[in-house]
Amino acid sequence: MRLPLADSIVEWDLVFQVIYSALGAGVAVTIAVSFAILGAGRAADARRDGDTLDAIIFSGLFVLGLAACAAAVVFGIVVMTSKG
Amino acid sequence: MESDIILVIVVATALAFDFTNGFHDTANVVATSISTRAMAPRVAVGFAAILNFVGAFLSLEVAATVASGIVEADLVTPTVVFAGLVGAITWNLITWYYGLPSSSSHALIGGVVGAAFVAEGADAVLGEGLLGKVAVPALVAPTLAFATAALAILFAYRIIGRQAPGSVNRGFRLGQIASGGMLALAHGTNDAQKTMGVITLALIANGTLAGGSDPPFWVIVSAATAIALGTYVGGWRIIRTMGSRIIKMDTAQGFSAQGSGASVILAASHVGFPLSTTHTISGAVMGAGAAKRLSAVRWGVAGNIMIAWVLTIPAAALVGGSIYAISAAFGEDSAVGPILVSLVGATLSLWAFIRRVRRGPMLTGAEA
Repeated sequence: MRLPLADSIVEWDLVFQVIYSALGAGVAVTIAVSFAILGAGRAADARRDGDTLDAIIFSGLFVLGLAACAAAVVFGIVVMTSKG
Repeated sequence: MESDIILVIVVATALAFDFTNGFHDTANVVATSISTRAMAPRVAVGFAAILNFVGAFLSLEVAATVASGIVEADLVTPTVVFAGLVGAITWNLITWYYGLPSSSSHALIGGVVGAAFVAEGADAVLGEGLLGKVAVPALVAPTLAFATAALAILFAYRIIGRQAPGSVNRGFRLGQIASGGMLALAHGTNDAQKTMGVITLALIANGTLAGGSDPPFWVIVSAATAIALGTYVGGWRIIRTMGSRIIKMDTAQGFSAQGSGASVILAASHVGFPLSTTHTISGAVMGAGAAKRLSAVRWGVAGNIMIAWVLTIPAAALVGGSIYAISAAFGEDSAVGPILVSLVGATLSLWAFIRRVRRGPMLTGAEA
């Protein structure tokens, strides 16, 4: 149950929007970097073992992770430049 | 003439606040990078200083009103702003001395609230604004960052679990350079603009600028320079607390804390609910540690930090109110009070600086 007074002071919709967007963005960025690291490491292992298919798959994972990170950086800069 | 002198003092004090804001908040950007050896200490603060400077130019949207919605705007005079700035600088220096990360923005709000309270009484302070714009974000920021970093590190450990430490460390260190850069840019964008807003308001109040004017170029450059210089000087005591005294972090934790922190700050900024960088990064560091093992967090240090957060507004308000009382004792529009306070402050700062230089550097790369 919410207090009517608190409702008039705190913009709860905004608070909940912050919670899910921040939680989603923070976890997604870490997952993207982790997959990029995993992809780079496993692709190198696969190349060393001469396993071309695995090397391609894990290189793809690396590129996807890296692209997601780059997108997050660009989005962050857009947020900074367009805040108002 | 008197008002011109007060204007000059307010501008100088605002730039001094901006400088302390820079060195107080350096830790938010560089502490985890230094701790995990993603960057050497001097390289890290240099990198952060440059990006803080650039960040100050990124957005033209100036956070123009000091403590907007928290104190009655009509009652904020240059002397109130001056006293508020001194309150914020004092609290920044006290928390830096004890190595405690605390919000510079909250310190400024506290200082202005205290000065406005002494100047005009309780009616000058808007309680609803304090609750909605200060108390709620102060609860949301560390809790949300704690949860985000904790979840993030669990995913990270799960994904990179059996990888060779060498490539994992290299990868997360590179990630930290990117996330640290984002934090430094965001800090320059948000915090340098507060100072630009203070100076612009003082210029408008003095009649030097027309109402509704944008900040002149010299204001933008001087605010950007002050925050960048402060960042480069580096608040090493706070860097040590944030980087190694809350938790001993590995590279995955360092990235999870910093990456999650940057994401939380930018996501919050995107939806128009700005959160304190300090509260966010401190919460993220604790979350990244606690998710691995609850006992990995030094809860005594974390508790001291939280006490500093709770004390920030009342302590800065107390100093701000006292400084206003001293300044106004010579007359609300008199420059004598601000001049005396500035002289005492400058003398104390010079004395502390000379002592500090004689004692040598606070922290080496190995100690970080």
